[in-house]
Amino acid sequence: MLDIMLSLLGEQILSLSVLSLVRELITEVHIIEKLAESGDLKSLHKFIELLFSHGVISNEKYDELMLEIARIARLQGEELRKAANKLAKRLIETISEICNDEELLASLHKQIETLHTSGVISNEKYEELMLEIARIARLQGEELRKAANKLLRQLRALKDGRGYR
Amino acid sequence: MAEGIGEPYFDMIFRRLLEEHGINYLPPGTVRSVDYVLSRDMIFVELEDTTDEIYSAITQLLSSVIPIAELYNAYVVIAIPTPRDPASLMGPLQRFYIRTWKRRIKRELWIISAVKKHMIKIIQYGVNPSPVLQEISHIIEVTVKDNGIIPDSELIKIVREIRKFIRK
Repeated sequence: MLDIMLSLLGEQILSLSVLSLVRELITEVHIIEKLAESGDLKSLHKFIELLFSHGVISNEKYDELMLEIARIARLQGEELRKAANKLAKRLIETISEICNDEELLASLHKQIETLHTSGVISNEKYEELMLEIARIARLQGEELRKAANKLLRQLRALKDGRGYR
Repeated sequence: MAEGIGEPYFDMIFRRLLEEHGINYLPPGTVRSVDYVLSRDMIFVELEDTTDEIYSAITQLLSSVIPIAELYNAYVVIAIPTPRDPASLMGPLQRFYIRTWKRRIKRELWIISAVKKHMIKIIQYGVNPSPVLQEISHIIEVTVKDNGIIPDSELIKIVREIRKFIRK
């Protein structure tokens, strides 16, 4: 399973769909936790390197995670297992954030297009909502998700005929 | 030609445009995960059929093309057909700048109209436009703040200008 995941990250074009698949492997098969439990720091190291080389994580995030690996490498037994599990959780959060952010933006974008093409919203409202997406596109992580959910509620209200069109 | 025409068709139109203007290019598949490399000036071009696809294209570019483009401070271009409504570009354009801001590349967004045989290049203010297809290009400059943020007023201005140009 690890081979499949590393090959997805290493050999294929890292599109959002591939990244989503990797996220599924991590969350459904718990591959990172298993690596951590077995103390396989080499594979965790490789995993972080691939995320960095594909631009999924920033320089800062890469340094931060690698420093964490170095800290974990000093530990043994139960302490190592606990620390590695913590790192695994952070990796999962990082990948989920990237996937969710882009998926959310694309989904909001498509919903506004649909509302416009089906005549639910006016041209002015369409422009206003697209500008709101641009504002959300400046954010990331939790901030982005909060703002996206707020816009999503607004879109639902418009769809149900409850909002200003 | 408009948004949603299908990527193979858009690809054919784009290739014809390059050939008509005598531009050398490396065709799709030559460089992994990038649609075209315009060989003289290292311009990496990613074609997208619709504006919402730009979000996932950015992730793809960051993972494959941008690390190479950074070595040459090259142009990284996302090209799309004329959108149904230019307002749909505001989010993707902002995201393109935000997510690539710390990378040492030159960014452009091209809007291509095969019918009118012209294109719009959206470029960052103060950065030279890519030196290809100038004779059919209309340049729109966008002011970008230090952190990659394009102010609302700039985004609205771009939309107005694209609309004005498309109606001509």
